[in-house]
Amino acid sequence: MTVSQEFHTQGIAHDVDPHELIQVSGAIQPHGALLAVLVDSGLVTHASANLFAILGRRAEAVLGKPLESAIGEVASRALQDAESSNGFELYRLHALPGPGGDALHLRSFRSDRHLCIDIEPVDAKFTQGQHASVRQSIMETFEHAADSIKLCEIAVRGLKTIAGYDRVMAYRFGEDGHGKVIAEAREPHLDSVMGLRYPAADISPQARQQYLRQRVTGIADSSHWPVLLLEASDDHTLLDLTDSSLRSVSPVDLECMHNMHIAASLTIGLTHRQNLWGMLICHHESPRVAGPELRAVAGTIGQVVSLLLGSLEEAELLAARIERMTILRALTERLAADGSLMDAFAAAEPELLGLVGATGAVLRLSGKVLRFGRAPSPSEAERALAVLHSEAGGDLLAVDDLSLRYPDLASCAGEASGALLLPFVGGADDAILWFRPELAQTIAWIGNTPEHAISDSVVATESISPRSSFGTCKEIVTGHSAPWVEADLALARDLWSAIKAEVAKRAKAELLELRRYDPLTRLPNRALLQERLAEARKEAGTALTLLFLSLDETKKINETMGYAAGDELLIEVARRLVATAGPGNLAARLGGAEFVVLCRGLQLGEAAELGEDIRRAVAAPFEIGGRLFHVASGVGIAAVDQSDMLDPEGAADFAMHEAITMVGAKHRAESQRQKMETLGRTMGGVAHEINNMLQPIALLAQDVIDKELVVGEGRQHLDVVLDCSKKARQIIGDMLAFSRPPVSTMETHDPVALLHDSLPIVRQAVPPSLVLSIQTEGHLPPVKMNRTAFVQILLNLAINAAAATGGQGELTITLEEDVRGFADAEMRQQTSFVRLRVADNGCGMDKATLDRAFEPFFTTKPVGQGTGLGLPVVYGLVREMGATIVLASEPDHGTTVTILIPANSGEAQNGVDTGH
Amino acid sequence: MASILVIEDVPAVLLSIKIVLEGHGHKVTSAQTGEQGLTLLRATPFDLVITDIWMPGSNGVDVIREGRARSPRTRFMAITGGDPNSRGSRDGLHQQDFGADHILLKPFEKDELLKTVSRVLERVASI
Repeated sequence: MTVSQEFHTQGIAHDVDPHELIQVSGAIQPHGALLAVLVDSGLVTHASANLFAILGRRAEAVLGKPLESAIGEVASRALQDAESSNGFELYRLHALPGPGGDALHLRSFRSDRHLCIDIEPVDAKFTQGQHASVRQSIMETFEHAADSIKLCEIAVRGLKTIAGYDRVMAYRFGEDGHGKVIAEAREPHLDSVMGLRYPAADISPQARQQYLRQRVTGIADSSHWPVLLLEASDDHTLLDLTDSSLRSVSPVDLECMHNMHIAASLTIGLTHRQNLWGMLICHHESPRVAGPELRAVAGTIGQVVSLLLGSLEEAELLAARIERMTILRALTERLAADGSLMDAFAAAEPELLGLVGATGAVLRLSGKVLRFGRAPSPSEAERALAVLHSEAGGDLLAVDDLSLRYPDLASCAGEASGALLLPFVGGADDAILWFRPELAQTIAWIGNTPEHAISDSVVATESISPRSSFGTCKEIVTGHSAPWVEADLALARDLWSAIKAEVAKRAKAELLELRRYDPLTRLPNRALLQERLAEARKEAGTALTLLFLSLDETKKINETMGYAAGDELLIEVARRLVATAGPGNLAARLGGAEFVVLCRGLQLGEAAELGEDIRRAVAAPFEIGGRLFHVASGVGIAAVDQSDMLDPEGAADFAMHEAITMVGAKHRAESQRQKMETLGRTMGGVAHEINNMLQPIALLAQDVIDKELVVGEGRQHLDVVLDCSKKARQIIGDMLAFSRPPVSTMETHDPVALLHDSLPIVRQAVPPSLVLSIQTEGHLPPVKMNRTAFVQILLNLAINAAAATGGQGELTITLEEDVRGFADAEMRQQTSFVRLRVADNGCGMDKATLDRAFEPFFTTKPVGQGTGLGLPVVYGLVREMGATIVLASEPDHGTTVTILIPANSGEAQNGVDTGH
Repeated sequence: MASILVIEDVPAVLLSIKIVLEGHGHKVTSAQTGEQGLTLLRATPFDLVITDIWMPGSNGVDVIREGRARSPRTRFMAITGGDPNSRGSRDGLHQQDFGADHILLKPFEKDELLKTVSRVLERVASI
């Protein structure tokens, strides 16, 4: 058996499979040697062919033998201790004298079931101690590095000093995988490679993985022939040499180095958060060994740089974030200020752009668009918004190559190559779209541009060819902006949170505000009105009047046309009311079909004019549901004054009551009157006829009784007949009285005298058991009225009181002076009144009855007891004399009728005064 | 005791007035229209004429006016159930006396009629 036959070797193909497991190369660099021991047996299973040159023992001699036979007892025991305690330990120094008397460094590492040992000569010239001080000062200098570039500059200079290589570079990987030289320390005669880029493919993914595991790798001589590993006859395991410092690299890489005139290299990986951030690369034009001590120092430098890089980057990020947060706060404060959101944004252009480092932006809010800075034209911006919205799908979206992705936006590449879209979730198409301008870049590539390099997807089918040419190649990159970073997106999200919070706050305020408004008509409600009234009353010297508007028949509209129509009517009334009242006067809805206008600075007369205007406005036809109809309304006015003389609450009450009752009563009276009028032509005729028919009954029945022509039962019958005829007469009289045209003569009277004159008639009309008490003030102003009307009023009221008290009770009639600011429904203004009050303590009326009290023919008396015309007649008479009537009543607590009669300024006379 | 002419177009009314007045001892002549009444009045002097105002044909006002002219010593009383063409109350009627010495509004009671007649006739006597 020849030596060559007994030893198995593994061949190395020149064109290698890209997925080659380059660590299992079965070969090492020649400046050191390697042994491998099967852990279980302790016997040497692999030895590099150059063992003799390094260790002084032949490979063949140690294969299959115990480890001690190769490296001695002490060494092997030390290694085994290390192994048992920690798996494998890197950088474990152990010196062993070599053949030339040099110290040897041993380092062990595991490959599955084997323990492998790197054996290297120690470089006497290079000891840790010598360079300790240099290392120390480098470390100290590191602290002064303000940013990652400065840090790398210090690192490469220091490393060059310590390691003595011709060139040391700091190499940074970009997000696209391409590398860029960011710092360089070189021998003067060399060309600079600063700023040059290396395509990503130059350092294969496998190599990158390597650097994460074995941070420091060195190639001593790119022209070396790899030394093969010889195997014991019974063990052909392919060793995993990843952790070996002597590992040879793939022939592809070696050829690369050779072509680039690099004989030796030392590479230190820089990691940041488990990623390969970049590398420190040392190149030398002639072969150079990087011994274990140097590698240790380089490794330490690499670790420190990695750590510092991390914290520097974080510090940079933090500083940038703080600056941006300040901008964000300023922006948020603007949003929170009064005024619309759009206005706030419009005033905050610098903050809006500065927040994410943009040069232009568009904001779309509720269909309106604002442009900031250098933004594309409106149509381009619209298009950009549209395409990005659909791509974003409701989330943030940042692109730095807008015009490349969407060629139809190429026209705005200048100012909008980069775009950051913040969609307003829930706000339809609302969004902010920031822009960054095109950043034209000229990139110098080592060799060919990446297009000529092989991408990952192609790797499977093609082989890696060693780089053949190393000229530089320039690439001009267009259509890109400066890329958006995570910080930008984070701030955009923070802005969105601020906007959402602001919108929510405003919505809540609006809701609170709405509680003061009637939801249907949007007018202020009673609560808000009372507030305003209280405020206004504090202002001394401002005349205040309250104008009440009451609508009739709204219930009927609701019933015949539906509630939607009723609502529409109220909204239209409100609109007309506001339009007529004008901006200085506050129109409010009290509820139902009642409205109020608070007028400031209007005297009673002016308010009355306004009242007239309002009444006219509301009297105009309403078109609802395609139909035209009219709504009856009543207006009452009260002056609100700070003085004690005029009682504002009372006046207001009166005015409102006036408006309400007047509407109802007037309307009903009107319709009755109209019915009567159509009937009226014949009313007199009917009355005439019936009176004629009653005449014989009255005369003859009485005659029969007087002549005693009939006695006993017959006599009683006749009494009934007579009684009925008298009642019939009364009914006819009432009907005529009710439907009569207004009286034409009014005279001026002393009210007290009038009252006293009427008393006998009243006394006679009511049961004696009803107690009558009269109270009058001493001196009352004269009033203008018709005497008969006065008597009629008193009479009707007294008769009602008698019925209410069942004849047992009290009736009190009072006459007093009354002073209040008041304008009635006909806008007759008056401040001086005589108040006639007729009060009883009878059964009273409930609300339903009270509402209908003035309705003709409405009566609660049993049939035959009353015509239901008493109050309607009174009402008519009261209105004719320009007075106002108010009913107050409560079941079981009696009824009070109050009539305010305008006082006349003239003297009392009994002469005939044809007024009206 | 007195001679009274009653002019009234509704027979029942006429009859009832006649019965009452005659029951009191007055001599009553009746007419159913204004013309009839005037004819009678031209022929005979009466102490008192009681006439309805609103009648078809000539109305009571004319009767009263012409009657007075012819017979200054005769008293005139107007009775009425209200203006058949009117819409409303008879307040105004008080103001209008129709040229009569007194007005009675129908339906008046028996007492009222007799008392008024007596009063009106007294004036006659005193002249």
